[in-house]
Amino acid sequence: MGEIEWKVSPRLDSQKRLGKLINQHYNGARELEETRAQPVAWVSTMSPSEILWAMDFCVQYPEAYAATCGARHVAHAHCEITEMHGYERHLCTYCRNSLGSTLGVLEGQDIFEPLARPDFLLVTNNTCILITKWFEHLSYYWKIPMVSIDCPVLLSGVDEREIIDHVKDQCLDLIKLLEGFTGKKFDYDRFKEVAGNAKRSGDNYREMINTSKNVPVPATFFDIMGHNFPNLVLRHKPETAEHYELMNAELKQRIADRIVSMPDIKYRLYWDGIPYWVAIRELSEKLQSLGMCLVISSYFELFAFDRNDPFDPLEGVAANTALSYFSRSVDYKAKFTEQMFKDFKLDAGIFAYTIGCKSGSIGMHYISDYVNKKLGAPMTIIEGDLVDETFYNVERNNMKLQALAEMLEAKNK
Amino acid sequence: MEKILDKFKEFCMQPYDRAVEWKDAEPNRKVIGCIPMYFPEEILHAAGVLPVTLYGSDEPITMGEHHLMNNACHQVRSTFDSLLKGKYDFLDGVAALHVCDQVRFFLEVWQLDHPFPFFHEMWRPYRLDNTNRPFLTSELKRLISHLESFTGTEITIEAIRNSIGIYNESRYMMRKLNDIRRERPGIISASDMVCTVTSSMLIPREEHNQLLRELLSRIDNVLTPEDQRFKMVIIGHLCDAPDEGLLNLIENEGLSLIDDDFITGGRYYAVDVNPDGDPIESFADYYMNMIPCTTYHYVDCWRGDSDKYSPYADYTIDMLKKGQAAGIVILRAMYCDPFDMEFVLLRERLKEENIPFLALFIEKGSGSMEAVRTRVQAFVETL
Ligand code: SF4
Repeated sequence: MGEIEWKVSPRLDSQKRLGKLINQHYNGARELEETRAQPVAWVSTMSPSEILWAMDFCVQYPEAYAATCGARHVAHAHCEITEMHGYERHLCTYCRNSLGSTLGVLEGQDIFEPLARPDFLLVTNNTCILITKWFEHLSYYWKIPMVSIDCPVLLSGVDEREIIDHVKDQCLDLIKLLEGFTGKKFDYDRFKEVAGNAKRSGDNYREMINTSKNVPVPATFFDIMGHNFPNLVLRHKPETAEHYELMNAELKQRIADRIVSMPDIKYRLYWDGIPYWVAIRELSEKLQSLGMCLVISSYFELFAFDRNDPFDPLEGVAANTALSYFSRSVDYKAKFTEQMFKDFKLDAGIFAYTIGCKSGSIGMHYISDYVNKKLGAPMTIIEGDLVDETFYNVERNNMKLQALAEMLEAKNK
Repeated sequence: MEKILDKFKEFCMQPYDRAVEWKDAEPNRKVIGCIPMYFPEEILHAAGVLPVTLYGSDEPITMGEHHLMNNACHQVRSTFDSLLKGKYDFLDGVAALHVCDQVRFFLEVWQLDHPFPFFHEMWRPYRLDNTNRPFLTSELKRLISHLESFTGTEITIEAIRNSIGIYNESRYMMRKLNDIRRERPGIISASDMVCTVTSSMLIPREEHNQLLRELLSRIDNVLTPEDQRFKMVIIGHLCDAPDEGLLNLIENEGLSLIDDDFITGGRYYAVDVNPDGDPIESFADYYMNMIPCTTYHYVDCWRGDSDKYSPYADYTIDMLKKGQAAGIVILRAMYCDPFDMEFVLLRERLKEENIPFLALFIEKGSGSMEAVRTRVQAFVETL
């Protein structure tokens, strides 16, 4: 690449706007702690939150909270609280962070910026089965109702239509239950409006991801990953679609102005798994020092919510829930990853193994081997954790990244 | 009786010998391996197939590690290790229910790495309610039609009912044996009980029923000295067959195990399938009425207005009361997410009820038995 003609500017202007959106959301939720003007729901990532937004709930995501706690290096303390209550160390640390902070709040301990207290819980087991247990425990500690949506895995031979309908039936159960819970009739017009906003947000989010196909990328994986938050937590609001519109305009402008966010990019890399929020700085510095640029991850698929439909909102949310990337088979994921390597012109892959995340890691060997065999791209599996730094060994992982860079160099000779 | 129990033990020591022999006896016979737990073996049986359950072995895991990450439970890693070592080469297929995340992902890798002619994964809802029932029945139908196309023969309602009858008889006899154990502690050791149940999942059921019938006809003549040990209920160890040596150790240290909820025990034979009516609906009922399990989500417990927070704990407490046991031994498997989560609530309930319990983490083929012995001895002293 002709490095001289590219200018380096690590900071995106959209970061400021993102910060504002996040602060507004959390501040608003904290106000509700006092006023209880709206009911607060805690919800798992791949749930049909549109239904709750249409019923005027404030929706909070324990997984997003865990990521923040990880990035702020406070999650380990929350996880330790759960160990004292008998939870095993190998259990998902998102789960332990959430239960630990809950137990801490209920016991009057000093907890890092806790989420507004929930009145209601909604979980979907399309990401994993453990998450239902996690929410059961939240329900137990907070003494509040929960609804679990059962979401069958997309096995070969299973009819996708049938799974969508099955999820739809459960969404209807949810609506009925919420009508009883709130004492309000479900407002289908509001549902359509929410779905319309979410669709625009989702479309723009997809466009944002696709800008990373450009060589070189206008922004790295590390620059973009925080922008998952609005499409997850705020996609029901019109300003979220606007945020992505401005973001996409900025990314396109960077491409036109030949601006990149890291210098001396030699290789474009794929990341598999949930980010190690505790080690973002270590990873980005090390990768930059090796000329390796993280471009994209299938992780972003979890936040895509591509199927919202303002004309048939129930169908849209059921399809988003039923056909999520996590519900897909290992075979599907391997082929999808191969396609990503081609579309995003990737040179190598980092697979982020996490002891607590069984669903995200058990098939990793297969996927990395598959893509390696198909495309000859070198792969490495590193070890760590999403939010608990005590699982992260900087030296060992840096050695693996170094070895990956050497493989790439040898391959390109 | 001893002779029959020895036979059961032999089947467990050479778990697949009888299945291979059965398969070789006639052309076109098929054997399908079932991953624990809860696969409807009756439907395989009705298709003329021999179902065998695949348990992990106590051999060191030397090959499985290169294919699966090490955060899977022993049952899953060990089964995969056996597959890679060629121990399942005799199988024509593999079938399983998705009881947990580990099984789900491990199975997918299995079929991709080592495809079998027949491979069937089945979704059993976690949320137990009527909205989920139609999907469950449709999964049962999918299994039947998949099997029919694999074997080339129709599975008739009569055939399924006949198989249900054979399996119900098996479960009934096991329940009876367990009732006798509860009433006459020491008449059968816990390890023999586990072998009795486990072997039923390894050999043709009709043969096993015949042996069980003989055993039950002789058991009344067996004299048992008065059992001075503390009566205990033993639970846990979700999908694996518990280590025989461990059970013997516990019983030799002054505890008499009178009941259990193992999948190679009470959990397996607790519930029958209705032999009358539409078999699909009968199997749906079977799953909906299964004894409390950590791999289910019980809707009514989580509506914010229920005092019930661990149906599983309540079930084990009932078991303890029924057998007038002094406490509960809990066997735990490393990396078993469903059980590890449940354990926190179970512990809470047992403490509420002041029930003494001993929880042991144990992995087949590893860990020091002496350390376990010390813990069992210390527990016995507290009783
Ligand atoms: S022992 Fe636990 S983790 Fe292992 S297969 Fe069974 S339920 Fe899953």
